[in-house]
Amino acid sequence: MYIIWIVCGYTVIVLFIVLAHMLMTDYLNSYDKEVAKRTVYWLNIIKRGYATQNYRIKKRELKKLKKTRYLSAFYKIQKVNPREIGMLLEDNATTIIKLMRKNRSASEKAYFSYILAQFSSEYNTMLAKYTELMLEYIVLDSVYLRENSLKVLYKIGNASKIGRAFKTLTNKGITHNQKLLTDGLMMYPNDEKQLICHLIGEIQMYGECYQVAIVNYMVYKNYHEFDDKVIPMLNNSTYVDLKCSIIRLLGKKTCDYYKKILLQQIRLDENESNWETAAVAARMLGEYAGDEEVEEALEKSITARNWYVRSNSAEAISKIYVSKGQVEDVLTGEDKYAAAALAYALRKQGEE
Amino acid sequence: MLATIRGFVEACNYFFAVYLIVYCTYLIISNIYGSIKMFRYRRLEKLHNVLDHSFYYPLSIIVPAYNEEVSIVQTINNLLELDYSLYEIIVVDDGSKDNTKNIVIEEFNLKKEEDRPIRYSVPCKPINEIYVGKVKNINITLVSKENGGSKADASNAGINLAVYPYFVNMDADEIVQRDALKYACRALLESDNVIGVGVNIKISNNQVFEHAMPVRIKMGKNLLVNMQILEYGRGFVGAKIFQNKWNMNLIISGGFGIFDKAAVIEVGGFDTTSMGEDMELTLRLHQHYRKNKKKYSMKFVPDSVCWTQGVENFKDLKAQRQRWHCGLMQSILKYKYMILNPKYGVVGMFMLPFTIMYELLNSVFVLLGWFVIGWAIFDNTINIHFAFYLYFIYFIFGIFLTIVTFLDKAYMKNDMYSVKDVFICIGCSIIESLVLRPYLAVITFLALFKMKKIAKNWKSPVRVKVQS
Repeated sequence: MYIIWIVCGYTVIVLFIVLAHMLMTDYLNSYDKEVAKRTVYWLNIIKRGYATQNYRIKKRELKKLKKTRYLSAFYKIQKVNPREIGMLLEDNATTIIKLMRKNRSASEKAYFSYILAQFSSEYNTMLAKYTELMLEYIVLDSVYLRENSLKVLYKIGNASKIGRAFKTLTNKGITHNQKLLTDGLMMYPNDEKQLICHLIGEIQMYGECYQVAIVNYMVYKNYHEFDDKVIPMLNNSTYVDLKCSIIRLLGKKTCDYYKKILLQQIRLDENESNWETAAVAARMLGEYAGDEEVEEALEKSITARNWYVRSNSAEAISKIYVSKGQVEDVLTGEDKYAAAALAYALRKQGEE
Repeated sequence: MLATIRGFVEACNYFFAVYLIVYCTYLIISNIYGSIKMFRYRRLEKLHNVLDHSFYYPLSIIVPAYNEEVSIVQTINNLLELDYSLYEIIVVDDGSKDNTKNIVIEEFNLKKEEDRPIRYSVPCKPINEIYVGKVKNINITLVSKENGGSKADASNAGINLAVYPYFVNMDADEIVQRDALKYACRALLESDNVIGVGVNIKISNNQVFEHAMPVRIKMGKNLLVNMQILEYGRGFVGAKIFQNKWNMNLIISGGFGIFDKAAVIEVGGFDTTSMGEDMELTLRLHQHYRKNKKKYSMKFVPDSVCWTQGVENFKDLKAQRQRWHCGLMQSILKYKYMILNPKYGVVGMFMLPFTIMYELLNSVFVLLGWFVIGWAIFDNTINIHFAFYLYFIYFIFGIFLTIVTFLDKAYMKNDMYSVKDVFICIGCSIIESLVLRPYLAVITFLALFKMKKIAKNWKSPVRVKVQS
């Protein structure tokens, strides 16, 4: 008989789920309407501020920010009136920071960071007031919160604070997507030299994903003033992504010193375990047209066992187009794989 | 003898009681968890808690095709509509006997590429010809190869030609919803160790699409299709989201799944001898990463949707389900050492035993149940009232659960339903429990004994063009 009661109980539970469903659906469906109603609240505050040219408001009024729908309404107004909302955020920073620290789930904190991140770097004086809060937010357990807070820090345009954020995250053992980090650094509004100089100075203190992001940033900016600081990491680091990024950076600038490093990197060890860096180096050597040393190295690497090294070497050879005789040597040589890779690369290069 | 049978029937009663309670508990927990999670997704979206960067993960979309002349052009055209910045399409013609290859070449104006070197990273039958072209700035590659006798072989050929680090494995008769990749790739952005992403598979029959987006979703007139709509809805939301939480998804559907190419190559690609190559690969990835104590996760993204054709008659349904069941059995037998092995964590300790009890052997227990009822009637030991109450309550429980699944649609992106659909769904769930489930129990039971024959005689169901 017990089983009937158990199944009955479960049926009742499912019935409750159906009801809960209806309530949750209603919450979601009415969300936008409810937010629209609450925008009036912030509009009135802004109007008052505009009339008196004073945007400092009472804590009681600001407490509404703790409610999700009011926060959404705040964002809606921010999109239309960024100047006024910016002033409100600046004039009431201390109170808002206290409110935002006290409660709120990670998702709501992330939303607040998102709102701040929507301001352009013109508002960096206002944003700077929230630096400490953002530095606290980045270590909390939400990837959205971390990303949005980091965006605010980039926009503030203070290199040392970005460095501090990377250090904090590293010390806490927190990683972040490398591509998001590099994209974030691209938002930095001030002098890129100042940013790179600061980050490179303490790059050894950062975790691998942050190191890669910084080097990739230098690659995108084609910035070479501090290359000497990262070159030693080619030997010191065991992280392949970092090594590949450094090789890409060096490949962006042609000079004898870098060529030598690339030639070192293209050399494969006995079991070809360093194929990833060798493949990237091979591709980068495609910039050294007419250099005999490079031609020789590529001719050798095109016969590597590793497919990617072979393919990239072929691509590089097709770019630098070594003397016809040498190309023929590979095409008609014993290594059919090398010949096939080169023939394909030459045709592709011809099409381009 | 009589006493022995009675004793056995008595033991069966206790077994079924526990069996039912465990199953109901699982359904309840997974559905509650799934619903809350979906609600949370939608709420997070309202609070702008999302990461969108469609150009971060270039993807190779592999479309294995065998005798797909009816649907292949439409499938590629739909793929060309995807709201995603960087991807290539690789169609693998697996030695089709129909005109699949020529249709694709003509329609997309592809040119033969004679000299492309191929790296056979994973095993597949020889590739004979490669055709390439560009439409809307998207590279299309057509691979013509010897028939490998399995989708796995064609998928492996696609992997060997894929340029990008992540690939999508799908079927040739599907519509990938325009925003599917965008949502699926969020999972890759959110965590560094994602090696596979499964998506929400829905039935495309009766639905109308425009530019790879559904514009009309409704239940149709074919009861079998409607029942599959319910079945897919139940299978792909609550349970999968719940399994996501513990990284114990046992299958990234062959219908549409995103994989880290390096991870798949590392474990040797799809098993060309398996009838359930999708489950086999997922299990192999679990096995490899857990054994080597590497960090990994396989995610399910409910917002990413792919529409597949449901079978429209019992003959095709029988063939499809028997094949799936054999694939399930094959995979479980292959990885039997993972069962109840703590080394494989929650996959070995919970998910595999659960799958064996409630999927693989479900048909055996259903038939055993029928025998027990039959015996009890014969022996006059059945309490008709009790049996009726129990069945009725379980029946109601099933209907409510179906409604919950249907209500989950409210949290789904671009999904819709009408009150009429809710009633159709209740009707279908009644017929399903009276007709479809007993039918499936019988055919999957029979499948357990004729695995070889099923593997040999497999033919893909007849394809129809979807309204688009």
